[in-house]
Parts: sequence; C-alpha cells; structure tokens
Amino acid sequence: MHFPLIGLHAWLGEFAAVMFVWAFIEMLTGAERNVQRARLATLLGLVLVFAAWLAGGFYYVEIYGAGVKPVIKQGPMPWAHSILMETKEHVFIFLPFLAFLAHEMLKRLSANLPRGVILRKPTQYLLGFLALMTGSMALFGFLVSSGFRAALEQVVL
Amino acid sequence: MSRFSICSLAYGCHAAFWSVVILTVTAERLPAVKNILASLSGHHWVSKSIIALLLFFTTAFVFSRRNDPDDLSGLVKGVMVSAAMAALLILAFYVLHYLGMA
Repeated sequence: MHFPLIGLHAWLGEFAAVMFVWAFIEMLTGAERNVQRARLATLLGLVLVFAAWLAGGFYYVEIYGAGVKPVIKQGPMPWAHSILMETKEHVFIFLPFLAFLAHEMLKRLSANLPRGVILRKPTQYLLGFLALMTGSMALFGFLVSSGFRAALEQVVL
Repeated sequence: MSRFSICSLAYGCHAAFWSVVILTVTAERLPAVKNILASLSGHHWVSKSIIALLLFFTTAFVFSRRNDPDDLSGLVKGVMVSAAMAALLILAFYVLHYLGMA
C-alpha cells in the first residue's frame, strides 16, 4: 500500500501552490505588512515544495518504477507515464530553485522597501509563474494517477 | 544565504534548468550516460537532482560578488523564459520519443 506517500507528495505540492498564490495576492498591494506576509507564505511554499520533492522522489525511486509504471504502460493511457510522468519528474526539479529565488527577492524587498516599486513587480511575476508551474505539476500528477486508475479498471471491470 | 546576489541566483537557476534538459535528453539518447548517472547515486533521477543542486549553488557562489542591477525585471524575465523553454523542450522531447521520432 503506497497511497499515503503519494497522497503526502500531492498534498505538499498543492499546499505549496496555494502558498505561492497567497504570496502573489499579497504582492498586489505591496505594503510593508503585505510584503512580510508574502515572505512568510513564500518561505512556507519553499519548505513544502522541498518536502514534496523528497516525498515524491522517494516514492518515484522506491515504488513507482517497479509497481506503478508497468501497470500504466499496459493500460489504455500509456502516454500518462511516457510523456507526462517523464516530463513531470524532470520539470519538478525546477521548482525549489524558483522558490528559493522568490524567497531571496522578498528578503531584499522587505529590507529595502524604498526600492519597492522596482522590486515588487518582478517578484510578483515570479510568484505568479511559480504558482502556475506548481499547479501544472499537480495537474500532471492527477493525469498520471488517472492513467494508473484506468489501467486497474481495465483489469477489474 | 544573503551572501548571494539575486543575479547570482538567477544564473544558478539557468545552470540547474539546462543541466536537467541536457542530462535528460542525453541519457535517453545514450543508454551509457543513463547507466553512469544511475551508478553515481543508485538512480538516474537522483543523480540529475543532485547535479542540478550542485550546479545551482556552485554557479551562485561563483557569481556571488556580482552586483544586482537596480531593475531586476530583465533578470527575472530571463529566469521565467528559461524555465518555460526548458520545460517545453522536455515535454516536446518526450512527445517525440513516445511517437518514436526521437
């Protein structure tokens, strides 16, 4: 039974996406209080996305390759592994680096608010992009799980 | 971690993203490369992750003294375009690979 681990990976990743959306919304105003809250949200997002990397990585290396991948490839949606999972496992690696960059930019912004007008917009764009990328990974994960479920349904039904 | 300038972290991001692209495509095309990656850590994906981490921090450290420009918009746009292009390239590669064209 490996569902708790993939559930944990999905929860961590989706919660991280919510944190980046929260930070993005705080940056719409960009007042000192908003920047402090955006910093907190981005730090949480960074920790969550890093934890999702570890949980998903352990699941991928120890369980997915032997137990899930062969089932998906024999099912009606083999592309769920061959295209989506292969893409997801590599693109996911980008997220912690983007989150780290966003967190460092918010640190600079909160320490140097007079420059806020120049720093706020690029930080906001990066947070929006990060939310979009993290959300896309969640969508890919859903489709990979759908490929597994479709393969099992083919056997059971 | 504030020792790193935003500029150095942006360069680190470029290095990490494109190392993943190059290692992924090369490993799929040349099984020997995939075997070498697998032998480094026990799994090719773990090796790619570790190499990306090392390249990110090494690049950021090398460029850590580089001063940031007043306007960071160009740097950040560069990182976002780099990430989007790298992601699309990986997706396109696996689509072609699935169709037997790569």
